[in-house]
Amino acid sequence: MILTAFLGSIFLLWRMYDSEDVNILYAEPELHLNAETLISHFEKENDYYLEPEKIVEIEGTIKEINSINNRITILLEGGANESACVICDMQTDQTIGIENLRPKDTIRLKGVFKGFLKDAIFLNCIISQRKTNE
Amino acid sequence: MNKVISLFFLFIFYGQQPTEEKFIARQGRVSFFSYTSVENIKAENNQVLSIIDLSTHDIAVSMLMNAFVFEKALMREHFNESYIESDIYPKATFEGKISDFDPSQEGEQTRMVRGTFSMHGVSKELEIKTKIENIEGTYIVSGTFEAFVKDYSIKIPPLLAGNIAKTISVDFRFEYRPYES
Repeated sequence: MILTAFLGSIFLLWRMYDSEDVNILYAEPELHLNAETLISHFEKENDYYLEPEKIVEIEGTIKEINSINNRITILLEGGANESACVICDMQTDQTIGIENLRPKDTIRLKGVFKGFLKDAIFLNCIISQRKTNE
Repeated sequence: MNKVISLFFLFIFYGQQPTEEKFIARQGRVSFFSYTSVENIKAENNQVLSIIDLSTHDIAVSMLMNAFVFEKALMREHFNESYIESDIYPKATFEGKISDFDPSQEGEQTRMVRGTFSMHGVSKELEIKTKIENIEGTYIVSGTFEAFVKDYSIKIPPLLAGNIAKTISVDFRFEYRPYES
């Protein structure tokens, strides 16, 4: 009995240590935001508008798609301040459909908000819904 | 005649000045490695911001500590909550100057960057050997330096001391584009 409990604890600890990050695909977003609204709040130095680590669904116009550092990244336009944008680092399994996306398409992404430098940064992003302007 | 010579040199000087003085890297990469006999830990941040000013040779870097990606979720949790305390110290920054930098030189040049690196509420003067590549007017800055864990008031519990190296190897690579403010 004691041995079973001990081995069970070891297994649970190992599973916990070995676990990978949460898969955003199955996570419920805590907030739904527009990229331009988000950037405008940070431009007004409203740093507490969005707390880091929140899972957010964000909609915006694609500014650029790149593969810098061998990672697929989608940049969303920031609105009035053209130099600031939303940087979405895509989850590694998000390869299907990306090749059909173009700048100026509207897209809805889901990811984990990490904070704001010059741009708002999201990691583990997935395509939540795609709407093209065609 | 003197006026003509002056105008000639003025033309030559301004003709050589780049039209864009500031360059930006929004997706710079900083990674660190800790090698011990117990385990190896690697983490990568691909959203590091950096700006260089070609006229002053100033370089600034800013990164979010919670944007480092680890192989295991628990490693990230320990890093953010116990060691770096990213809720209290969310950013690490570097402000420095590139010595003897010639922005107009095409190809590769190796230069020293001197400046202040701030992390976990501690600022340290650093001198880093960097490779600078100028490829058709875009710049790539890369290099490696070593950081001592104890220099940044990072407390490692004795039980985990064997898992984390005393010296952490830090790699960086920034691809700059002209900065349109």
